[in-house]
Amino acid sequence: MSKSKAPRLKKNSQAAEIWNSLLHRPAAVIALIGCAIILFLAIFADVLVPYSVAIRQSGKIKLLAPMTTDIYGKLHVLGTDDLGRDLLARVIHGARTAMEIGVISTLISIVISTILACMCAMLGGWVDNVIMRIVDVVSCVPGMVVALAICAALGNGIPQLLVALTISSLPMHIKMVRSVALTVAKKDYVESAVALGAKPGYIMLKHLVPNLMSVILINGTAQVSINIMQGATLGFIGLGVKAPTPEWGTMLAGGLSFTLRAQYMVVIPGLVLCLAALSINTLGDCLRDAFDPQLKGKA
Amino acid sequence: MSENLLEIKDLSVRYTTDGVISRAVNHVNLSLKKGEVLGLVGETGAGKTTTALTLLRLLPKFTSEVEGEVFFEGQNLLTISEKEMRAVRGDKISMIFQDPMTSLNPVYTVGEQIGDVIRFHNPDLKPNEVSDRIDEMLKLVGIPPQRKVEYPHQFSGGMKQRVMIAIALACNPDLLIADEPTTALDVTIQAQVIKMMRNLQKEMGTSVILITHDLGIVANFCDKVAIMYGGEIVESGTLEEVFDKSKNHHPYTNGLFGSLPNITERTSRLTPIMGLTPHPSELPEGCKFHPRCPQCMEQCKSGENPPKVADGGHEIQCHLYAKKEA
Amino acid sequence: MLKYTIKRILLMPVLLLIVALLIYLLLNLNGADPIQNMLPSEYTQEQYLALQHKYGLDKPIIVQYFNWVKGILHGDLGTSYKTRGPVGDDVWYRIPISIKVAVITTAIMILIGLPLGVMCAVKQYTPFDDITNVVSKFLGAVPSFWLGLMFMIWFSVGLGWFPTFGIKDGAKSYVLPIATLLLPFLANFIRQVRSAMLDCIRQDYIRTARAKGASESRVIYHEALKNAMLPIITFAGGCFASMIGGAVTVEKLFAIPGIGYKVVEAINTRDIPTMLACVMVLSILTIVMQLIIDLSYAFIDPRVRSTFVSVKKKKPTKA
Repeated sequence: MSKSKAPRLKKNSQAAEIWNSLLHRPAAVIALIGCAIILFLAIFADVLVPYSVAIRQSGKIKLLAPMTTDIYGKLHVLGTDDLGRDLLARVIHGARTAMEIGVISTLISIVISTILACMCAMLGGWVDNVIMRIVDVVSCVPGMVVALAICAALGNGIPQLLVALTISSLPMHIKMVRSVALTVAKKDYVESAVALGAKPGYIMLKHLVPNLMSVILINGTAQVSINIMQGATLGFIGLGVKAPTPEWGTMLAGGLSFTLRAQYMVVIPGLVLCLAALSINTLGDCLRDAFDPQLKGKA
Repeated sequence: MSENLLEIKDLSVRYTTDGVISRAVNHVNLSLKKGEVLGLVGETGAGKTTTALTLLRLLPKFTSEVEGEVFFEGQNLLTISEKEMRAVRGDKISMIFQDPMTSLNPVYTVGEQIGDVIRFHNPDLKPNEVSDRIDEMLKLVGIPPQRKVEYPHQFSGGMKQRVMIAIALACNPDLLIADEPTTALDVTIQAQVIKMMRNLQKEMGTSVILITHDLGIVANFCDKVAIMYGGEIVESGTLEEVFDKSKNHHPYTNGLFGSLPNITERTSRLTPIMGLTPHPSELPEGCKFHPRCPQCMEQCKSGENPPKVADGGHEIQCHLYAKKEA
Repeated sequence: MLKYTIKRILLMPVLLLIVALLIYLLLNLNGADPIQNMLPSEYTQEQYLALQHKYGLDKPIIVQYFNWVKGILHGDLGTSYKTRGPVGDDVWYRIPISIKVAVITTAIMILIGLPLGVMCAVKQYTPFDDITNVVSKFLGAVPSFWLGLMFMIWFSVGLGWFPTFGIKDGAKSYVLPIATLLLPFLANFIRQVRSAMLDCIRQDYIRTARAKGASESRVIYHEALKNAMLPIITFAGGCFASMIGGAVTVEKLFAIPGIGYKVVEAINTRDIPTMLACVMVLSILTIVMQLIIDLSYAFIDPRVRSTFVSVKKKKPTKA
């Protein structure tokens, strides 16, 4: 058993090591700060600006440019949109929507894909075959189209969006996690655990999952930003969240017809989206570097 | 006495990675005559491979820093231009690497890879002459020439190392550096490869630097031996001098021999060297070996390197013998 | 590998039919009635039934599906609920446009990205590499619909260099859409090439090549690049596939009548036959691309090639 314990021990000290090495990279620190700001906005959105402000419409204060004070003497730092809603409030609450979409859909797809991938690796045979054939089927349709079709079928709303994004990102996750799980499942400590009569579920939790953590974390981080982007894209097309919900992609689409009169309406949400994606991507890259110094500087 | 083919003077190499400085090679002096075989012996991390790569100037550019002089046929290899150096590599000095599995390019045939080195250094050769030379080289290392159209993955480890040897010898180099050429091979294949290398060396009169940690191979193959520890040469001399038990030796050399099984004296167990090789970034003060040395004295623990004590060509870098002479 | 590829080709039609079935079921899930949309606001029951019968919608979904499959086998992609014309005509008109855009974009991506990526790898730790890295990181994080919009604001509206939308102005009208589509892909492609090259440059055989006296350019372009091509091709192929299907937003933004735009339109109008036809086409292109990637693997890597030649070898575990 001593042999089978080795990887777990290594992993625990690894967490501290990775955190340390992240703090030593300027890019990682900036990315962490960026992600922390988005998380902060998402969690404390209601404290910062009441949700009602983000959806309150008023014909009298339509299309105010950034930094203007309206007739009620209220300053709109980022201006207002065509329905008189304060853009700053919508950006802040949009962060919450984006995080909900990005993080929750990623979590769901990570959990499902890890379970399925571990089943593939542990059980092999027909289980592996069936799962992989289904993955083949789904992955031969471009992910964006899968998401489009599901959104179209289920209608608008966050839960529907989550289902669409989860399903469209599952195949790639399963493939990636499975390929790592397969190599881990062949390691001596797993085989010795099998030889000792451990149950598959125990082996999965005790041996496979800890060793899959790095690939899950790295892919997961990347997936959060991909899903935020996809969610915004769907919103832009008109298939995302329901109407009053503040969401960056939808906000951008709403500003389309005012592109010439009020450029800030399309510039601001897009810029916020960029910065969010950039922070999360950079964090993902730094995580990868931290997990595997050999890969340092790789994309 | 003929002129030295190779003379390394006060060579030091430092690596800097992530702000950590590793002193991989420290003040190494070596010389080699034409046709001689030098065994460079030491544990992993002793700086043997770094020394070899320095001769070919193949160290990573950004992270390494080289001091000292390397004279090859009277020319300082460390100061010539990159273009001149390229003309030396593969032609006058060639190298065989430790792991034949990864040292051949998987997407080209072995024939192409042998042909490359021939063409690089003989650009005037016609294609059929190159082809003849490839066949000749393959025959020389015991591979049927018709296999030249095959790819590395179709060869076994031992065969790949033969291909590597064919590449290394294709231009009749004056100096061949063999970096643990047999470590990655099975024991039976090891013997074959070493035997073949020795025969080829005798035939072609090439000088060889053989890097190894296997004293058996050294005894079989080498004329001279240099023992490396912590980036320094702690003992050097002819094969007879270093292997002669009646002579004085560096404690590390004694340790190396002590950890070998001996058939004639049946002892109950081997005597290993205690402790671990220090990492080149954390070399101790004074004599690099002192923390592991069974005969460590107060003066070994600090200050400069111990003095070199010479007995003819046999040099030992240790306080033990310096004291005796004084 | 050969077995695997053959299996894949044979499996293709089956996969496509399953995909179609899933979409059939999915789009029927929310119960929108396409017939109602086709009729004028006031209609009689007879009109409704007649139309329903004409489109075969009076039958159970499964039967509808099999009728559709039957049509496909006869080369009939069905009748659009929206235009009421054959779907095939519309799709055949749009495919070349989408493919043209994707081919040009991929070509530019490779032409610019490959040398840049290789240079980054060669010049690792230099300002050139750092700057390219940062720029590509930024571009990789820009949503293409926003980028397109900014381009529009700057170049079409502001400077008046290019038309805002449509494809009436010939080559000129493709510049902005292609640039919009290109940049995020290019950014990721450069990073991919760079990392593939770095991977190969670190290999032992590169050191062997140097020890043989190879010049630096030969080491990079002859020894390393050929090995790095495998991941690069995979990535470029994936880019091409997602450019065809994923150009949705760009096509919508610039009103390019491509297949991606059509998908969105079909979804919004619940035009199931058109939707199905588009997805079929996209899936076929994706699968064909995958096959091309597989075959190019065999072309480049003798290890893969030998598994093509001798079928007796185990099929690769990676799917």
